[in-house]
Amino acid sequence: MWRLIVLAGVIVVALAVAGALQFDSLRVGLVTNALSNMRETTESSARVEAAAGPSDKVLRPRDDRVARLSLADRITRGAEDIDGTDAFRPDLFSRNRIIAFRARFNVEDFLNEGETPPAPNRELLYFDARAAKIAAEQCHVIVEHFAVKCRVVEVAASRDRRGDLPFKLSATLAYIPNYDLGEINRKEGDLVEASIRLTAPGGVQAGRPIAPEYLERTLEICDHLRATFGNCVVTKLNFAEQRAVGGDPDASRGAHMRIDASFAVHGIWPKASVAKLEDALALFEVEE
Amino acid sequence: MLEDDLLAKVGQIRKKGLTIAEAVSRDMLYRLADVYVTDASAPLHLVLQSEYRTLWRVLQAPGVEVAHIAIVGRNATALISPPQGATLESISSDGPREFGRSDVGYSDIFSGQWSSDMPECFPLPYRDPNESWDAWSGSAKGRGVDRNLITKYQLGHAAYSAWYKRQLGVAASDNTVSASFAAHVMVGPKPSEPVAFTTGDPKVIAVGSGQTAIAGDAATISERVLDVYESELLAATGGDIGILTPSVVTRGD
Repeated sequence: MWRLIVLAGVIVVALAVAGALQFDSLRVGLVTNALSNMRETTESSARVEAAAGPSDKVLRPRDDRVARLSLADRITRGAEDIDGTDAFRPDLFSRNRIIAFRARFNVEDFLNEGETPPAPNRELLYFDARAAKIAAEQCHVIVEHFAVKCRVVEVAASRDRRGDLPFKLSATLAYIPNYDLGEINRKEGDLVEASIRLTAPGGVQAGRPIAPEYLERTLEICDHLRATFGNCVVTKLNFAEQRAVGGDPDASRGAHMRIDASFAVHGIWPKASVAKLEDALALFEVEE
Repeated sequence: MLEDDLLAKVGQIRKKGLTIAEAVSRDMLYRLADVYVTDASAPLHLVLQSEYRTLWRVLQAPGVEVAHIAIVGRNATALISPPQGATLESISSDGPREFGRSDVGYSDIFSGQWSSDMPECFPLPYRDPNESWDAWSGSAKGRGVDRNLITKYQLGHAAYSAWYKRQLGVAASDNTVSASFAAHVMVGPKPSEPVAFTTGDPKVIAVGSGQTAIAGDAATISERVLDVYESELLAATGGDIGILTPSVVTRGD
């Protein structure tokens, strides 16, 4: 007769105390989850701010609706080494001037040519280790169409159990624009920001993580805003690969991409207002 | 060697600009847990469960027969001086991440989405909370932090227990000796007089597949650990660890 004895001797309650305890000269080493790169916040609204010249005046939007539209600050809060928050500084990287993308990959997508595939328990490690490189490759697309410089701010690699593209990459890139920001009076005025979806409600067929034609489209919109308000900056471009709505939830192939762009202009109210910016952007709305 | 540790090193190097040596020096030591077994009533199956890295050692009183030892852990665990004749089994969630890891299924469980889609494999040994826990009374009073912790463990234990029962045919709570941070545990009746406990070969450390055990003096261990990390990370990066921290891309480059 077998007897089963179960011992749950060292299951602990509180993570916080583990590192401080000692047992027979052996100490506990806590595992840090490397996938916690992307910080989350419970704040109900994100801030939109920009340094306004020598006084470092912080500009806040007049309308809380605008704040909710911008996720830039939330997404890049983990990037302590970014230069600043001023989206209109033409010479520095800003956490309020970013391009983000989310895309899915197969193992062979991130292996070098002829490279032996890793063991299954090393696949995520390989993907994570190459995530920043994959993101930096998108920077080459961005500097070709959109920017003078581009850098990787943050990447998060993870598995996605659904679908046949099992690895998911979320990346945030900061850029120094190659386009004209326009004239800004830093002594007075406000920063206003609004967003527009560049793709139809159903999205577009997912292809490259960052599609150049949407960089160009964004520049066209910014040109229009600059003509209207005197200045314009693309504060965030977001390329989000999504599974097809209403389709097979397990199918990643045939996934769709939703692309959103956020623009900010600076000016004196009421000439520069959220309503006017949204009106201007409405011209570029994509119908079904 | 654990994928989790390697992933942590990748994160540290990428986010904090550490060298491999600096990242590895944030060491990964195991805690030792001695299990004194006095139950000689029948050949035993021991299931050793831990949420943290644990180096288990089973010490047998005279007449005790350990037939099988299963180690279950969130992190990799190991067994030093395994009893002679016992078969060994290691189940860890450190393996491929579809097995109960945080990015697959884990968050679903804690968001309450798991009931109809429970992970097939969930070797995360959550204890079932009870009134002896500090957070229990706080939770009853509606304190959010305590309530979250208790809920997390209740849901985690339910998922773990379901997996466990499928695996072993008994509930996770059956015949379970449970303690928080115990370094010495006795399984069986208290001996009426001192007994000499025995172990298997003290030079043997049993680890799960895909893991590496390194023993030696401190300098040797440091050197060997660094070698392992370097070779693993070199392979993971395709031969260039510099890709963890890519340079600024400039137009015209």
